[in-house]
Amino acid sequence: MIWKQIATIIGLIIAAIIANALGLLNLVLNNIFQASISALASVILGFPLSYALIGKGIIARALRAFSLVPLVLPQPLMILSLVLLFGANGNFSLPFSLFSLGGIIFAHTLYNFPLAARIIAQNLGKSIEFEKTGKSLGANSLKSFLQITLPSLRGAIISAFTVAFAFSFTSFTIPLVFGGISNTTLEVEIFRSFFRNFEFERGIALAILQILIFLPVAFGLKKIPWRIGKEQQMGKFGSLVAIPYLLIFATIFFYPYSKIGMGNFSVGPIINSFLLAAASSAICMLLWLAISRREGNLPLLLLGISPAVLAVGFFYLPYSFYLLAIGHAILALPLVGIVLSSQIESIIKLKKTAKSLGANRWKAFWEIEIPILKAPLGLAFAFSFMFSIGETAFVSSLSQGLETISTSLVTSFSAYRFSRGYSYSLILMFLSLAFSAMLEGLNVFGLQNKKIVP
Amino acid sequence: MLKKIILLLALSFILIFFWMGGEPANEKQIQIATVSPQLEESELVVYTYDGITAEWGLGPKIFPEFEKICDCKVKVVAKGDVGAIMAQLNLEKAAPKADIALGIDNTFREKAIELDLLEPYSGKLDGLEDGLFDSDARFIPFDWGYLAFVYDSEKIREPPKNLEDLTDIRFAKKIITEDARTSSPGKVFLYWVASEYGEGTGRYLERLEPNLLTITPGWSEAYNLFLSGEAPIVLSYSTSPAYHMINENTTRYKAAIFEKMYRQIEYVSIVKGAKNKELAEKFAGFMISEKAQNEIPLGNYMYPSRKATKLPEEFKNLENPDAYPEIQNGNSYEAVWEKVFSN
Repeated sequence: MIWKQIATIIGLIIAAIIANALGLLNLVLNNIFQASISALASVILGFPLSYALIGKGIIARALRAFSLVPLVLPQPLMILSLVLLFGANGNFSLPFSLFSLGGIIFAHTLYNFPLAARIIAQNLGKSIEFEKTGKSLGANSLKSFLQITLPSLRGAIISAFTVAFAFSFTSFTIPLVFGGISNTTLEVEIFRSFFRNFEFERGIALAILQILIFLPVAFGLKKIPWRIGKEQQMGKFGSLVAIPYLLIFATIFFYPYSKIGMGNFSVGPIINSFLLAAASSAICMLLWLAISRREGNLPLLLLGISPAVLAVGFFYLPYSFYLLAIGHAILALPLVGIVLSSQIESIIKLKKTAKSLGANRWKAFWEIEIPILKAPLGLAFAFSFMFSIGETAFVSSLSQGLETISTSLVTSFSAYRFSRGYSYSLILMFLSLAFSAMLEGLNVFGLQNKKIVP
Repeated sequence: MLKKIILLLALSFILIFFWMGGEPANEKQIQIATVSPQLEESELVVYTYDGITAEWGLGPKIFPEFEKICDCKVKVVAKGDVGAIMAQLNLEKAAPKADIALGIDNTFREKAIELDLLEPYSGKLDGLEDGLFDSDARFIPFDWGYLAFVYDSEKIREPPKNLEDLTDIRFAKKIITEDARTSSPGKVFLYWVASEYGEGTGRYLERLEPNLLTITPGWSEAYNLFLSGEAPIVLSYSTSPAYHMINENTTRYKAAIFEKMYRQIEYVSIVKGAKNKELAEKFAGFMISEKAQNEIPLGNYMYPSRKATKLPEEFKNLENPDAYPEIQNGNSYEAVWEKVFSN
C-alpha cells in the first residue's frame, strides 16, 4: 500500500534529520554498513547449513539443537570462544586481525548464521520439492536452483537477513571489543545517554531514531510464505555440509572449555531463568495471538527497541517478576512474529468456516488454530524461551536482585570469578540443547511428515 | 498430544506461581531478609550494584549484620551497575523509593551533584584514610583502590614505570584498556591522563593508540582478554594481584606501580528525600565502622577506607605509589578520547 511507502520514506527522512542533529549521521551509516555486511555473511554461511537442518537423523537433529545455542549465548562468551580459537594464543589464524572491522563481521557472522539457517530451513523443504519437479521436467541442477529454489526462498532469505541485521545493528559488546571506539554502534550511544550521561531526552531521541531505522523492515518485509515440507533424507549437499557444520558448532561452543576451568554454581538462578523464560514465552505467544490479526508487520519495529531502552521505560512501572516477563515477551515478539507471520490468513479463513459450521471461538482456537500453528508455534516458543534465558541487559537494568543464569554469569565475570562464569555459560548451552532436544522429541519443529494447510 | 502438553504446562506453571506466591527463587532476598516486622518505617531500601550482592560479595556479609544492629529490615535492590542505579534514582527523584545508594564512585560524583540526587550525612567522620573525604558529606567513602596497569610477569620483564612508558614501542599492541565513555576504570584513566597532560591529553592518547590492542566497554571484558593471553598488560586495580595470590596462589600477575596513581573511590550516600533518613544515617555510619570495613578487602577486593582496618597478608604485600593526587573531573576530555580513538 502506498501509505506504507510514504510512511517509510518520511520515517527515514526524520531518522536522518535526528541523526544529523545529534551529530551521529556517520555513526549510524557505519553501523548500517557493518550490520549489512554481517547479515549478508550470516545468510551466505547459513544457507548451506539450512540444507542439513531439514534432514532426518541424529546429525540433523544435533544441528537443529546447536542452531538455537547462539540465542542463549551472551556476547562475552562468544568473544571468549573466538579469542581462544583465533586470538594470539589460538589454534587457528585468520587472514585479518581479530581486533578489526573484519573481526566484528566475523564474530557477528558466527553468532547469527545458525539463526539465519534456521529461518531459511523452515521454508526450504517445499522449495526443494519444487526444485525436484523442475529437474524432472528437464532443468539442470544450477538452473533449478537459480530459477526455482532461490526465488521461492526469497521471503525466508530476507527474513533471515533482517534478523541477522537487527542483531548486528543493535550489538553492543562485540563491536567495541573487536573494533574499538571507531565501530561504536547506536546501541552504545543509547546506553551512554541513559546510563552514563543521564541525558534522558537524548536517549529517547536515539531510541526513536533506532526504531525509525527499522521502518523499512516493518513495512517492507512481506509475510513469509510458510511452506512446511516433509522431513526428508538429507540430500547430497546437506550430507556434505552437515559434518563440517557440526564441527564448527562443537568447536565454537565447547572447545574453549577444554582450555579453561570450571567453577561451582548455584541452582537458584537456573530455576529463576526457567520460570522467567516460561512466563515470558507464554505471554509472548498470547501477545502475538492478540495482535496477529492486524495487517502488516508492525511488531517488527520492536527490533529497534533495545533491552536497555525498554528497561528505562519500565522504571516508571511498579516492579514485579511479571514486569520482567512482559519485557522479555515484548523483546522476543519480533522474532516470534517473523516465525509465525504467515499462518494468519489461512487461520482466519478456516475459523470462519468453523464458525459457520457451529464451532464456538474456543473450539475454533483449540481445534483449528493450535493444530495449524503447531509447527511454527513450537519454533517461536523455542526462540522466545531461548531469548529470555540468554538476555542480560534488561534483567540487570530493571530487576531488583533477581539472579538468572545470564546475570550470574556477568556478575561472576565482573568479580574475577571467571571459572564460575564459564560454568554458567556451559549450563546455558546445555539447557538450550536439552530444550531443543525436548522439542525435537515432541516433533513440534514442523519438519514432520504432515502437510499443513497453506 | 500437543494439546495435552500445553494444558499440562499451563497447569504446572500456574501451580508453581501460586505455590511461590508469584515470586521466583531469589537467593539474595533469602540471604538478606530477616523476619523483622514488615513495618514500612523499619525498612531500609538500599540501591546498589550486583557485584555487592553476589553470594561472595560484600552484601551477604554486611546487610545481615546491620539488620542485627538496627532491628530493621534491609531491602536490597541490585542493579547491573552504578549507571543503572543513578538512572533509576534520577527518574524517581520526585518520589524517592531508595534510602541509600551504595557504590556511586568518584567518576559519577559530578553527575550525582549535578542531578542533585543525594543529601549529606550528619554523623562523625574520623579515622578515614587521607584524601578520601573532602568535606562533602553526600559522599562517604567506604572503599577505594588504585587504578593500575596489571601485567603478566612471565611476558613482561620490564614493566612500565609511568604513563609515558606506556607509549614505548616495546608495548605495541600489548595493552588493553577500558572505554572512558562506558566504564569507570576507563574514565579514571582518562582523568589521570588529563591531570598529567592537560591540553596535551589528545597528543598523549595519539601516541598511546598504537600500543592498544583494544578498548573494551567494561572491566570484565578487558580482564578476560588479559587472562586469555591476548595482551600482557591491562588496566585494572593495584589490588588485582591479591585476588590471584589468595585464590590461585600465584604471583604471576603484578601491578605496575607508577610514581603517581589515581584512585577509584566508592561511596555510601543518603538519597535526597529518603523516607527513612534515620536508618540511612545509621547505615552510612555502619559502612565505615570497623565491623563493615573488615569485610571490604576480601568482599570487594578493594582497600577499606578506615585507616586502622586489619588487612590480609596478601594486601600488605602489595606495592603502593608515592603520591595519589585527587581526581579532577576530566569529563570535557571525553570528546578528545572519542576523537582520537574513533579515527
